Amino acid sequence: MSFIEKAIAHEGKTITLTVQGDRSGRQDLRLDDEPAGGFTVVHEEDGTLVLATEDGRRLRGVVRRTRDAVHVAVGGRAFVFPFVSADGDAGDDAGVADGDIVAPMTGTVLELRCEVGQQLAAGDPVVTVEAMKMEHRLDAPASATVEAIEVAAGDKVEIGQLLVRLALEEGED
Amino acid sequence: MKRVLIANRGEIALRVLRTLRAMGIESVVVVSEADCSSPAALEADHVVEIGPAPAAESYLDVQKILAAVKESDADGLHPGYGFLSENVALAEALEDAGVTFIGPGTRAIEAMGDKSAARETATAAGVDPVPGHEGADDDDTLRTEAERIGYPLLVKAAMGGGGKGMRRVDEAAGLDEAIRAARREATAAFGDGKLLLERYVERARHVEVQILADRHGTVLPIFERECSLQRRHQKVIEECPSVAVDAALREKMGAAAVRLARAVDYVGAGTVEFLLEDSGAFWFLEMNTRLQVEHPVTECVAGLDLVAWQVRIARGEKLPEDLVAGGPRGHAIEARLYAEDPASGFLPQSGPLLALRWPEGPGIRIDAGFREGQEVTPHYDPMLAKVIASGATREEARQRLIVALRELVVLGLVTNADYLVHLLETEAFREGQTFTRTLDGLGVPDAADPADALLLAAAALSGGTAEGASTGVAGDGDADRFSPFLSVGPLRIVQGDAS
Repeated sequence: MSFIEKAIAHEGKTITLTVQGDRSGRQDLRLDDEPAGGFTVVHEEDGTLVLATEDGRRLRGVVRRTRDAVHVAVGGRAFVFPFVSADGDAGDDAGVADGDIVAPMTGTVLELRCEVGQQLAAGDPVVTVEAMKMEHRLDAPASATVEAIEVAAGDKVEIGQLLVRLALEEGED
Repeated sequence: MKRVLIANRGEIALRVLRTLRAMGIESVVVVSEADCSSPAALEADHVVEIGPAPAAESYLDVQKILAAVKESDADGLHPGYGFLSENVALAEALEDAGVTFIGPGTRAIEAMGDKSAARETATAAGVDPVPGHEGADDDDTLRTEAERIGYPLLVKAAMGGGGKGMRRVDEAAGLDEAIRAARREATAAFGDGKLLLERYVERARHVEVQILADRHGTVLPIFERECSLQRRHQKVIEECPSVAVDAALREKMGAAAVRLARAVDYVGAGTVEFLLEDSGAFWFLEMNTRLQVEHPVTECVAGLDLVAWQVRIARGEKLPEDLVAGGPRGHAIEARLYAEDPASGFLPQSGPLLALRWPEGPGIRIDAGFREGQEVTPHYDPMLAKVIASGATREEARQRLIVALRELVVLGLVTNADYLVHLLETEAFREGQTFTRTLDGLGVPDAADPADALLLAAAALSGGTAEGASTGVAGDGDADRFSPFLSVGPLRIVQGDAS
């Protein structure tokens, strides 16, 4: 017998996924406590899974799990289900400190709006990034001191890349 | 040639490398810092690092490529497509150094590189560009020119843009009124009433002719490719032959392409692009003096290796006159698989490829330049692969391509695979009714039902098998993220229970 419960995100909504297995190998999926189908794992090899579903189908897919999400390819489509932590944030922010301002998408740094050592209030602009001709202003999430600036205006940055490190003030959230 | 340097990257570097290897020629692959462990670099006989990731400091730097040629002692260079493939300075420097450039002579590159000069060369060779008139714009001149161009045509503001000062005229009777209105609008919008005329091609197709030319005066057209499905002037799906081209038109277009090639003493593989009207009239767009991205569909239907012929021609060999005398055999369709998100304006994606599996089967060819675990970087074009399907008929090729696109697996990055299937399944594509404006009016597919994906996610998350976490789908040493129950190990029947 096995049981797991995991909160994942899909299209902006959090879904609680529970799986309960019995001794025969059959497992039952519930989504937000609603039954969502039973299955048996028929084959598993290097991320390829073949399931026999309760409605008599063979379901083939490739699954990869990272720290932040589970990725599934099935029927020519790819899905990403980010894990949702207990406080409701999608994704796992381990490795990314609270004060890290990271690039929201791959693009170019337009302008740095702060200097190292500067005191910022919540909502103060930190940096602007341009991607696909759209400008994104990234603000301080809380009162903070600018600890380090990792990029310069004009730099090409990748999604998730650290731009500016802030030291958030204690007691703030 | 004993050792050829491939001045390119990605799928085309690997594709050229394979042909060189089959011909017993050593390959030298140049790599930027971002490509040190690309499939082409891992396959190469020799690798030369040429600098940082940005193309301007590596693949586009003529001096670095020349230094790599010298360092590797290569006696030939294949430029692939893009980057320096149509760069006169590189071709000249190689000539001076006694290294064979696998491409046309510098005169042809130069003549076709400047687009307006190319149009003049083409006109002189009897290969007309899209008719139009730019210059004197008094009413009498415009009337005379309109008769020459023919209807329907567009009256456009010379300074124009955004449709202002633009009028479509379907017959001579409407011309005077259109000129007056367009001049008024152009003056109001741009402060300049200057007008020009251009033929209006309503249901235009992009059809291009592949040619091969040797050093002994033989120039052969190797059928046409239909590349009308384009998004922002980027080809998305290409096929050979074109449904709009019959044997008689093929001969006419082929003859026009050959005339142009002869006019510039063309040598090697090249492509002459045309705009084809419903009526069968066709107009010169431009000539690409290199291998095209979509060359595999021609190879499938002609049963030949264009890169091998590039090499043979560069070695001075003669083209047999009957190389493709039998005409096109069957049909081939190529889809360009991109790391881009159709749902967010086709935004290019970057990141690691967590899983990568290519489809297989009769008539399936994959030209890919990435491997699983590799990072897709924002430095280069985000094309992951070309998926090519061929069959005895167009419909067989279409169905094979759809299955192949559904079978392939790319995890970690959003791709356009679903969008490609969506295009291939439209009635317009099935019927062969695709034009250069077709994709403008076509949306992206709806988000897919996640039910099956959630079942698979659940199966993966509910734990590794008793045999251990060989799958990588669970248990990265942080099983506590799931549930304390996971550590006891769920019971799973791995084999047998095929209910």
